[in-house]
Amino acid sequence: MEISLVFQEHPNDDVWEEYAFGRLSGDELDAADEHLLLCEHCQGILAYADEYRRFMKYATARFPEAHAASRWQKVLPFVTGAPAGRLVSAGTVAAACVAALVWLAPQGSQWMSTPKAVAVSVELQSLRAGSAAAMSHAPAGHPLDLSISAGDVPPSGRYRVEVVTSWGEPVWSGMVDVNGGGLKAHIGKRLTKGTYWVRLYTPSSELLAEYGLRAE
Amino acid sequence: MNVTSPGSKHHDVDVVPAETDETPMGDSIADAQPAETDAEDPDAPEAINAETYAGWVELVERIRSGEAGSLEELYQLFSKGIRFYLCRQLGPQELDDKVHDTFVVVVQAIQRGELREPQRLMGFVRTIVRRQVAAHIDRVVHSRKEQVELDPSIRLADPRENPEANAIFHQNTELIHRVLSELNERDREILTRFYLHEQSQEQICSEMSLTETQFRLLKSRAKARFGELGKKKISQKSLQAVFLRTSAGLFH
Repeated sequence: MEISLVFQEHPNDDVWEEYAFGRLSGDELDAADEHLLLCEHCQGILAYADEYRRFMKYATARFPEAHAASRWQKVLPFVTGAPAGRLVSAGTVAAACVAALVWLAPQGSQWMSTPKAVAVSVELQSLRAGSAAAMSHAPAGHPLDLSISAGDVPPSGRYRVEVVTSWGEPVWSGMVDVNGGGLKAHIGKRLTKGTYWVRLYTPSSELLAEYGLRAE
Repeated sequence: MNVTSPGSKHHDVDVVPAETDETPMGDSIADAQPAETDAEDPDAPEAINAETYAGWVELVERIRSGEAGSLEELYQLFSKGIRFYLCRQLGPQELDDKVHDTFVVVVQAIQRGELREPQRLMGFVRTIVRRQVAAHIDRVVHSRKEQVELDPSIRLADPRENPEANAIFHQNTELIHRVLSELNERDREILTRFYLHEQSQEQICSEMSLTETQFRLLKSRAKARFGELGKKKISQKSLQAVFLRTSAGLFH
């Protein structure tokens, strides 16, 4: 009896991390899925990989803002000469502001300007491609670069992408072309926290596919 | 013959030396020497072997013949895995129903003789589970497309986490911010490229002149540091169990 299975033993953590990112495919994905059906140990590893990836994505998107805020909190007692919780006079506050500006000036635009929101790449994949969870995750308040594998959609010249709220209210819409083996849509509108659906249409408004997107 | 779940020692696990709570991430990994050793997880079950496959062949035959207890064995074998897969793909709503529906489809297919190679039971179940997920998504997409107004009497699952889960999520975010603040800008950029922009390891290593080992070591140390901090602060049972494993250096 000849049995063929890519993973005869437990896949290592790198494999489960790639699985969490939806980057496994073909025989490797099939073998990983079959292994998950039986192995609670690897289910736990994958569950942790999913959660850790979610935390890292969210936290790295917000790190510039959080880091700037924490540095300001450290500066305030220094320039006022008093514990941050105590009341200070208007003159002291004015002096503190001037001193802070002088201290911050060498830091340049990184400190004084609002941290620029970086467009975040999010890959949407249908289950027919054999990978990825039904709901993709993205940080709220950031522009998004959505990408859909061309293998997930029937061949067509152009497509229309529409982002709607969980209630079906349109949030963004635009035309996209197949480029480099996939569709890419830049969503300049910053989504607030919530669940969204990304719908893919032909130019004649025939719905081809729908993907879940959770902004957190 | 009872079909048992696989069990074996873990394969190819790299161990990162544990750091104390007060030990920051340290200098850039650019000059760091990797310290990888093989370790075995005594808790990991045995891997699938030829004897397991033979058991599946026998189980399929017993299901086809209608032998008592065979369906229960099949359910015990796959129910947790099917539940995990469906929950991950579709969420926790109506999970019991979905698991049951999937199990019924598997059993009926076996009884109709659609599983021609019993040793391929795993692949057969995997295919059916994927089809169930795809069919469910199709139904949801089309029902949403056709619905214009919501019936106020319909109950909808709130997609938001409960308050406790939200609190834990934000706690974890703060821990990661602490880990990131201990890194230099280059190491932070590496992790941001990987987790936020979802660039592949190959792309990051190529564009930032990193070796694969340097890249993996940075990820391992960040994850281990997160686990150490989390072990102290996070109380959620499901994550804490994994943090304890992380702090023992099983992740890389």
